[in-house]
Amino acid sequence: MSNPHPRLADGLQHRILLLMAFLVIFSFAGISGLTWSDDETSLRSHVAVKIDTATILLRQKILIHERQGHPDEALRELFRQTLIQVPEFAYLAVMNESQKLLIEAGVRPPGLADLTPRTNNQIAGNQDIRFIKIDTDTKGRKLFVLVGVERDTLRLRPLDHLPVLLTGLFGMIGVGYMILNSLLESCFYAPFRSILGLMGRINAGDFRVQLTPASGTLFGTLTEALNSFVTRVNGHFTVMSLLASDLEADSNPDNQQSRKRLGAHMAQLLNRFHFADGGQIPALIIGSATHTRLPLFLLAFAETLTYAFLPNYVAGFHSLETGYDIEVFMALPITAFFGASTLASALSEYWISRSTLKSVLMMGGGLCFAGYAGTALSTTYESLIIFRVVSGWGIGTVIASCQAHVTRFSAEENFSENQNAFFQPLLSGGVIGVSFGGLLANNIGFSEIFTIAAITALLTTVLTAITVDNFPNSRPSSSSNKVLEALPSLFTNFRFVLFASLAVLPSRIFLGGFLFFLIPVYLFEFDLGFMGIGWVLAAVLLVIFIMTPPMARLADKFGLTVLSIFAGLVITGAITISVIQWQNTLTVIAIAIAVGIGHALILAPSLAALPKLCASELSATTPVSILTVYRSVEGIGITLGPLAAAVLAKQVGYAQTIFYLGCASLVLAVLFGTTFAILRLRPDAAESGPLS
Amino acid sequence: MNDGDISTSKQARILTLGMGGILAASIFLGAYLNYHAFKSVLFDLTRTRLQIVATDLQARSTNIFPHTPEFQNLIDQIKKSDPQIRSIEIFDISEYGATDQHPSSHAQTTPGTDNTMVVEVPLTPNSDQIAAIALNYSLATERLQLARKRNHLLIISLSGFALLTALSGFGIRWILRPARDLSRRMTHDFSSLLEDKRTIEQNTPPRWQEETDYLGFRENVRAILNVLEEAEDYGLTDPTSSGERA
Repeated sequence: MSNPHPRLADGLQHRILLLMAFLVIFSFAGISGLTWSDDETSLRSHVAVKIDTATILLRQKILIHERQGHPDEALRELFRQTLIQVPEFAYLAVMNESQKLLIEAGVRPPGLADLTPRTNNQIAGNQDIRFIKIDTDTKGRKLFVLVGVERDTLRLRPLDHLPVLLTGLFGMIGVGYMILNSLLESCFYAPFRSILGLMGRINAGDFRVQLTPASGTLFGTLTEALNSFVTRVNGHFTVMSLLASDLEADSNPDNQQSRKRLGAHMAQLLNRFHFADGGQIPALIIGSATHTRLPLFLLAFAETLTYAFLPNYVAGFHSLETGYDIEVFMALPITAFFGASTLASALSEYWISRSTLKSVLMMGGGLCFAGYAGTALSTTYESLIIFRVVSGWGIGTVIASCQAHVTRFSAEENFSENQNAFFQPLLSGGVIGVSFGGLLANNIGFSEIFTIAAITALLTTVLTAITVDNFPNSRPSSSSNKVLEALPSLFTNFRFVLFASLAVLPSRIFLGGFLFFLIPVYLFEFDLGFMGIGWVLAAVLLVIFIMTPPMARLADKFGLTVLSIFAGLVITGAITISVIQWQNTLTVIAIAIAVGIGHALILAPSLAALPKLCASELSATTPVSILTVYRSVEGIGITLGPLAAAVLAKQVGYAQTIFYLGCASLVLAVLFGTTFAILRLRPDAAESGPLS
Repeated sequence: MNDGDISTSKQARILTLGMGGILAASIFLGAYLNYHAFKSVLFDLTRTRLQIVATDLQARSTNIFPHTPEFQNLIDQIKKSDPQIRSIEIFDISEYGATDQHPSSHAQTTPGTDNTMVVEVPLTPNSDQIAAIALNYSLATERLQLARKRNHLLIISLSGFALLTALSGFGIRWILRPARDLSRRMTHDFSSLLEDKRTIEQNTPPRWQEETDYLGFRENVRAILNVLEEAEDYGLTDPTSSGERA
């Protein structure tokens, strides 16, 4: 039955986040507003000097032009060039004594016909018009040059930077949202959930746990009262047990009746209630998939800060090196990073199962810090690759640990829903990080952005130490390496192999090559700027972020796995091949969005189909192991993607590479559709396993 | 007991600290982006202005060549018209070494305050020889304005941070009030229940789902307390009674 009352926790979250958003917007708007008028005053004199200089030089040119008797068309061309060179000029014209316009260029302001050249500076419409007298020409005419300057030019100049400010603002709100959410989780929701959890246990007659003391918090006294109640009940039970034991030992026939009565009473009690074994009552720990949100978000943010410019940053080392083609040279550090990350994810399972989530996250954060700091300080290509490997290993460890943690709690509830606790922070961190990174790359140096990434990784480690509970990781330490055990059975599963080789692996090769290599390099050629590249990358991730959950639900509900993956491959391929016809920024942006939509269609049902695809393997191994193998296949694809794209780009160029990738996607769509639809091999046909 | 005092509660302190950190980062970023926007517009205005001058000089050099006295007059005229131009130097760059120094080395003549713009012009008529005109200009005024802008932003940022942190502190305390009130009501009620099995009469219906959950829990506790009381009446929970009974 639904409860008519709202949850206090929800209300709190909304209000705190609204407060944060309001204060962040207020701080940005306040700083911009308070400095706007000062900026205008400071810049006004510079603009005036520039306009004066340009006007004087223009006058001299016109004078020379007239003296040398050039045709009017040459003067018109001079005006056109001047308007391009001096964007502050909106209108240029030459007028004779009888106020007839001889030549003009630019936007003529309304009301110009009413002006007379009596005074030098006048206003027409939204322009300041200067009349500059030229006394002589070869024909003995007296001429006036009219220079029109938009009155709002200076006032609206700061608006040029509005996209930068908005990117910073939204990025800041996103980062603030995740940090506050995690702080709320650790200092409010977790203790409150524990209180409600203990009440639920007491309702069920379970007195075996109590709460961790929470003195100094809003729930300190309530926690104390609940603990004292649990202690009292356990104390009474202990006394009763002692009494029962004493009576049991007493052979006096007079107590026979009491012994019987107490025995029945004790049996009834033990049937209805559960008590602590004696001694210290353990503390209740309620795990949650949300613990991993902040570290995942911050590390995704730190890592993606560099994606808009990484290939171009690496290219800066090329002049010092020989032996590599520039394309492969740029792609190698990206491949090294994803390779290390994939390897770490696959190999760290054994170690992860023997340590706490907190320690693994802190170690991963520490490795990332070392990797980013090292990259910032790198002076050679080799050291750059080594530090990218270190960062990749850190990220891989964290991702594997978080995946295991989320899956541990997903098994009890809803698998697909809880996987969002894993994907959402990763993708939202990516969206914000990549757009933020592009913004910063336009304003500060590349090495400085790696320093910011290192600071973020350090912050992740510190916040993990503060906010994440120290409870054990996914499985007891007795488990052997289940990933290795799962491999033979998975790779003899015909449907899994076909699914991995026709959908998962190639789509990730495409995604890796396109997202991490081709977009930053190819768009850079169109002079889009790093912020523009960052936005395009963010748009791809945003589309995946927004579309994946509903697509997963739809595919799951209607059994549309094959159709969804087929549609994803077709959309990706069909739009991508258009690059051969139109090679411009808009086409690349359209392709990027199509890749986002296509991959949302592929990613979502792939994961949802996994439990059904591997139902028989799940009986022999664990969900985490199967997910690890699946992620490894994805990782191999993303690792190979940039390198494959670079090798192809070396041979045929960037546009052709994108075209060939599109063609490959269409061919795969046909192969996949044929295999799974015509041969009636449905990836989602099996019964649900423990993952579902 | 802390339940009545939000100000000293751990939750309020942690959230205020977190909010303070976010606001500090936000104000720093806002200030930095504003500073950078101003700096880029300022330098852009100067650069494009001098670009106009240099391009004009370049255009005129097709008629007046660098070795001629007319050219020197032109340079003098330009220098006089713009106080920001410190010097205009001409170099033969047909073959490096024809002049004493390559213009790029002159770009660093006064590090930090000067900048150089270079345009190429033909050295003499009908020849392949090229001269570079290096226009050295001062950025001292711009840098002074930037320093003023930095100070202005610093003052705004610090006062803004103080104001917004205080606002966030009040806001967080106001937002946490329902949680404090709920905790207080539950604690008060539960303590009374434990002491004399009485509960506090509620004049208002439960407002939150958590409160509704608590009401169900309270009834169970009352039942458990009844059992305990019964056991106490029998002397089953008194540790000293076990020996006597035995």
